[in-house]
Amino acid sequence: MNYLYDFVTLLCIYSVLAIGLNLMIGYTGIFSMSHAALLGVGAYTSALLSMKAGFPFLVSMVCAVIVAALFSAIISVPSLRIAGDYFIVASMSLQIIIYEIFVTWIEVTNGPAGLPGIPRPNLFGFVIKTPQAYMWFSIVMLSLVVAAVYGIIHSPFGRVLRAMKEDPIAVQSLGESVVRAKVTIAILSSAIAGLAGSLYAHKMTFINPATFDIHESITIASMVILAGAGRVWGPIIGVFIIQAFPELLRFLEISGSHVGSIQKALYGLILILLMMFRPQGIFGKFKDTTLGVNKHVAKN
Amino acid sequence: MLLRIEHVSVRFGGIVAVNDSNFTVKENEITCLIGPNGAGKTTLFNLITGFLTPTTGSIHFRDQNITGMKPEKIVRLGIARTFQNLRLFNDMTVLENMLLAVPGKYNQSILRPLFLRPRLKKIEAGNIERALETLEYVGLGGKAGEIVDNLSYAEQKLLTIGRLLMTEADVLLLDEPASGLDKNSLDRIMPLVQDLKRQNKTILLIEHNMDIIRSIADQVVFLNQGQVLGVGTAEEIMSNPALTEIYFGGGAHHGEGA
Repeated sequence: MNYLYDFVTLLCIYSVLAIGLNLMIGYTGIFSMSHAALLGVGAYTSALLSMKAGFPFLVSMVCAVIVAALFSAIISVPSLRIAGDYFIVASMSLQIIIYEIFVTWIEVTNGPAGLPGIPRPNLFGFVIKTPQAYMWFSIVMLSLVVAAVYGIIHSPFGRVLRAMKEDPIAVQSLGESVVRAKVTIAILSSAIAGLAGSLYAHKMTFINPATFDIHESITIASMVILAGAGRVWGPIIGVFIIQAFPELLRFLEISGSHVGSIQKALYGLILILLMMFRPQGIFGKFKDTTLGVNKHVAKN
Repeated sequence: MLLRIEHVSVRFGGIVAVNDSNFTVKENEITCLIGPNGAGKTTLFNLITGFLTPTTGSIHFRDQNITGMKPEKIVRLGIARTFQNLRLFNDMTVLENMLLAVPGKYNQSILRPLFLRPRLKKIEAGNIERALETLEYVGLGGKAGEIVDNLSYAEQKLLTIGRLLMTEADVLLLDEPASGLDKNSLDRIMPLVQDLKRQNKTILLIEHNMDIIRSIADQVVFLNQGQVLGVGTAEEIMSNPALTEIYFGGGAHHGEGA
């Protein structure tokens, strides 16, 4: 049973991350290659502050969110000013730089050996220790993130995002800053990644740089694209498919040493097939009624 | 003078699209930009609204130098434009198109949808009301819930003007509002353009139809090959044989996209 609880917990944590990334890829059309690193920034910040500075869990978590957002602001403010395509390169560089910091800043991060002994979250005296309790905690956090993202997407700002995807020049001609909207989304998305990182660190109680390398960034992006970028709940399905995939491979009789590479090759194949036959993802295009505006009109 | 264009030039590689242009736009007047294709009319619109930066020269709005400012900033200062190819959001409703032009923090805030939802709903309701009134004014009452793609071309043109009014800008640049319209549609849109003057708006428009220009223009600016060749009333410009020769005689170089 614990196995199932752990599976659902990780599903929730990666869903938080993917929903945040979907704000960029799905709603804004900015492709980020640094989300694994930002997950790591959240994880390391939260873990180190809890372990070395003795911060309470909630404070560490909030700091993780802020630090991840700051890291992203460093690259998004200059690179989104130029053109969307440069952001891929800038975010990939950020991914590599952050990963190198995790590996080489041994005094703080303990390098490739990783950080063991991260404390369990303590919420007002209640320690979330059992897999079951952590699962419920992750479900609550995921629900909060879904609600927040849903609220933003169905707001006037969400409408601006949709308009930007259709015609950024028209958006500018109406007095809205496209750069500002993109930077807002990039920072928000990274803040959510930081939150996921904090949840991850205190769940695993051990983190090391390998979890936050560029392959992970690609996997996370695959999760978002797979189910259909541009739907609030789409990434959850994508995460489920990709998380469940290794479990399914167990039923095939493949020797353990090959599972990893077969998995990656199959992800690649699935993505190529999707781009060819269903570029909008499995669950298709996003459509909404912002703040119920259209319904409002129908009534009048 | 509300808007001053001073010695403005713009070069694209070896081509001089606008060459040392000077003219002013007076408050609460309708100024028409005319000239043959390729004269630089739309390029001037792009320069005034910040979509292009002049190579030399400057543009002043209410004593403020707006040369090289970002388009969105210029809109917020009070100069907004339409496009020849309309640039409406075709998959959205008429009302959504209107709301996208609301100035202020309304369209950019993410804190309001997260923490101040009741307040946002209230602001939204106010904006919807204003949008519906504006739609009524431009003659699109009852169309608010329609998807833009389903509107007729004339209705889409009216919507571009409605959307422009939502920006609350005082100076409106209309890029060929009459083009592609039949007589009936013209009778809907041109009185509207004239009425905007009564709403204290200042209009700068690109137009080819001489009858329309005669009936609505307070001032005409004649452009050819990127140069301002004449500024005056419609009668003054049309009684100048040199200018009419260029305009009607086919003496100008014809090119795509003025």
